Amino acid sequence: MADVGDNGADATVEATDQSGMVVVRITGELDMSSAPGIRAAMERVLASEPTRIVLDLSGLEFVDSSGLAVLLQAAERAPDIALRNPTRIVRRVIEATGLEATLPVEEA
Amino acid sequence: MARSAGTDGATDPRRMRSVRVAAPPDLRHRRIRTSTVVVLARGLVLTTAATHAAREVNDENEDRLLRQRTLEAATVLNGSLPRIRVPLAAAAELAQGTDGDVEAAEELLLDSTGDGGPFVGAAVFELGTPDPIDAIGVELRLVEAPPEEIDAVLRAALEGDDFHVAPMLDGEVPRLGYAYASQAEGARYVAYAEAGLPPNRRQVVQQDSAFDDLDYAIYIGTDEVDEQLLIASLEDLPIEGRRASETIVFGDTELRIVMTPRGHVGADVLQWLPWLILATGLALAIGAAALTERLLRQRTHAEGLAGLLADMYASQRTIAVELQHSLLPQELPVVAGLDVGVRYEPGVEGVDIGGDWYDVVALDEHHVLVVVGDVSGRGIPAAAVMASMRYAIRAYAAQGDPPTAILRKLRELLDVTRDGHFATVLCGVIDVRTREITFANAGHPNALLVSPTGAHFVTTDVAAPIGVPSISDHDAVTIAIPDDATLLAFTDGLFERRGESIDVGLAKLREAALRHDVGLDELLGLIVADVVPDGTDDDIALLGVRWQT
Repeated sequence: MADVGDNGADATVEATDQSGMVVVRITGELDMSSAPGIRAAMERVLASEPTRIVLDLSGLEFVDSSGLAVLLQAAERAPDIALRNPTRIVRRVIEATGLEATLPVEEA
Repeated sequence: MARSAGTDGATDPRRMRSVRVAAPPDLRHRRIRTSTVVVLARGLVLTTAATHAAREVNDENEDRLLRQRTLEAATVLNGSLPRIRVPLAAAAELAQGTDGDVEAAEELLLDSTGDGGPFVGAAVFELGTPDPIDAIGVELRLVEAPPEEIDAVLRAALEGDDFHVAPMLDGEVPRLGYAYASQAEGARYVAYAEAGLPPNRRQVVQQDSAFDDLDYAIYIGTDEVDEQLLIASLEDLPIEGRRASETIVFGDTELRIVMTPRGHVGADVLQWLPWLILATGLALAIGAAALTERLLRQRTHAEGLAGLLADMYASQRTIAVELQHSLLPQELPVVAGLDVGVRYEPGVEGVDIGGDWYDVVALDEHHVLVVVGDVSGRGIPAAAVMASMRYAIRAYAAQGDPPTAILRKLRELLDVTRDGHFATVLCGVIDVRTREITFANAGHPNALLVSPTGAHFVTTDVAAPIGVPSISDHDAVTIAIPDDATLLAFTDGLFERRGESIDVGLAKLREAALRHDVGLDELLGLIVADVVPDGTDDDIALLGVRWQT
């Protein structure tokens, strides 16, 4: 029942390289109302059987527990996952939730 | 009729200390404000329909009202399903998690069996064994069935992801059986319960009742045939003429509700609902009564349709809040020397309930378990996970497991990939003699220790949340709770805000906790008022402990 419009989120596949690594850029606010859309997008990414998923979170402004659940489901199913440039807001949530090992930030 | 459970509890200080749920009128007020757009949209659609109807003769108005009553009845029924699902799910997971140690599982079912509960009898079965491991309440009809029939019920439960419904509608004691299997991989345990139906599956509406103007019939499945009838208020079936019907999902089958007026549509919902609840085990009487009372009152000013819808929306919200309240501890244990306070603030966003919880359990004379947790997502599924987490923790703690072992065992019950939810849990055992607390933490915000000289967040070894594989072992952390200190544990609704880092919210919380030198209950209220003055869209659970002086 969340108001739609001011808190949506988008997932865009930015790049796929020959080794099977997929870069997915998630922007906006990943919450209860936008999570189903992002989950569906991640399903499509996972269906292509990538060897590694890089989530570019530089444009993600908010993530709640429903949003984290989507990222965690992807992390469990992907052979390898890393976060690229998460915003401080998102990085702090991941740290506080004990998820740094499950959702590691990409080595620079 | 029934008053809010929260209000009842709070007025009896001896039985229940400090358990508060925000008053529905206040919520309702806020809700209307934040849901204006939604209500307007719904209002526009229905106003169009209503304008059309108003031009027609009174007949059509009656149809509309009947339809509305039926829809609302379906909503109430639907909202009551957790009363069946939650205790069965919790019992099945517990039996599975403890590999057949059914004592704790049965304690769970006991609460729902007999007077006031949806079940007349309950049991835990193991696959391949027709005799229940143990049974409580009245003799189960399923137990008298041939072994292959029992096996079919257990297997149906194992195959589905919701409860399996086994109708036993023939004979003098018609019953409905519900079977729920653990969702764990390789699950072998099934929690099973039966609800009683009235003889002949008829419950006549009393003539002298103030609400005697609706007849109803409820069928299992979608066919309106006698063999599938659960309960009806009239002999002549199927219902013909002016009627409205609605179908809802009911475990692995469906329920069809058919209603017809006896004269005007005035809804004797209050009259038949208690029987419906008794018959099908779909209780939640408080929420239902609140809704129906409101609907009946609203009938007098049903012309202001937008206003009506806003109130219906608020009623739905009230049911959600009541349901959540029923899943939280109804009273806190009294521990000599220790003050414990709790506060629960439902979020103002949406009608869905959240997965936040708290719990306080006196383990023995000197040890108290305190828990604050948060299941990801919202709605009935999150609340069901919450209930099974809460009950499982109680069961493990009762077996004498320390906090780290409790969290390790919880990991077997939940998987974010399979279940779509994870849970953060902060679990602490207070030793009243040494004045220390031992914490284990699965992804949960750390507790805040406040003393007159300062406040700091307790550092713990934070493991991944429950439902997410934990890569390494994590240690418990024991800290002293000084004589003049207050320990606060909470969920993220208290400090997480869109557009700002959690550090900002945590700093505000710390300041608020230091600002007030008052009694524990008052402190919890003031902290919430300080850090979320306008409410928040997330739920908040807040628990505080301090030594009595």
